[in-house]
Amino acid sequence: MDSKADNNLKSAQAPGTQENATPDNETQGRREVVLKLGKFAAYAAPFTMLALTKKADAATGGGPRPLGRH
Amino acid sequence: MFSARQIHLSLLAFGLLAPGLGFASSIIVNGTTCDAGTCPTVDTLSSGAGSGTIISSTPFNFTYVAGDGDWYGITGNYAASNPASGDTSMVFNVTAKYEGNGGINSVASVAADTFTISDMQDFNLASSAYYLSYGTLNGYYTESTASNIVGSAPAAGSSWDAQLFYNNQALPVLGPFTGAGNASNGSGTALTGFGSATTLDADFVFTYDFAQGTAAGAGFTSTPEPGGVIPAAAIAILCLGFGAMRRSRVATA
Repeated sequence: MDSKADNNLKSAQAPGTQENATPDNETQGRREVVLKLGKFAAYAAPFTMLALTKKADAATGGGPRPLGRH
Repeated sequence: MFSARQIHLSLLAFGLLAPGLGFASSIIVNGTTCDAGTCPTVDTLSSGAGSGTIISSTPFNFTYVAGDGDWYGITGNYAASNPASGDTSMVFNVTAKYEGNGGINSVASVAADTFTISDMQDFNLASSAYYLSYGTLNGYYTESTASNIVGSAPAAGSSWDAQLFYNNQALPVLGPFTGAGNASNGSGTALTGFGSATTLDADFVFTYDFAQGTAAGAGFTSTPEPGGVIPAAAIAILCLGFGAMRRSRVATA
């Protein structure tokens, strides 16, 4: 490997890169919080929408719809 | 002077509101007394062209005084739409609350009272996609309602029910309700007596039976309970989840 290529390789590895590749406990904890929060939101959203829809739904009537497609 | 931009915005606002201007449903007590909306002539919503016509949600509020002097506060709202393509729809919500005898006071109802509150609305479907396709308004029609107690529960034996009629053809009775509940005719009831009629005459009738001895402030409503139970549960789960995660972080730190 020539010296130029060696310099490029060194410059691509910025100081501290090795440390950042393995998140510390705090970073890992934040990621878990975000992931779990996302999962909870995903579960809660449909139920919340259902509840809001139900609130809007009251005494209603409608029609007609085709007899052959019941 | 108005700027060109203001004039354009005004015209846009009018264009959006115009389909619902000038129309109203008819709210009638015991089939005879008009208490809100347009009466005695019932407005007709035309499917027309484009987006059709609508009646935006409109509130009403009046007092029904029974022959025995029992007062009932009647509040609610109505809405309707008749799109060029798709189902007609109507929304009718009523809260009927006993308020006292001879006025608003704490006197319990002196006798049993039965009365009806009706929402009448006509729809012209002559130029609708449905009529142009099938040549008749025969088809499946739907109805649904919720029920709840408002204030305190009326005296034992009290109830109410709802029933929708199209051109005097009855859909099933929803109820009777004595408290919280929901009812509907599912995916619809076949009505086949329209012949070549092009107009739907809808009559949504709520019938109330209040027993003697009902306390002031007691009543029924077709409005569902505030939709807070499920969101509250979701929030509780979120909070519990947060707590568990915080404990987990502390344990691993």
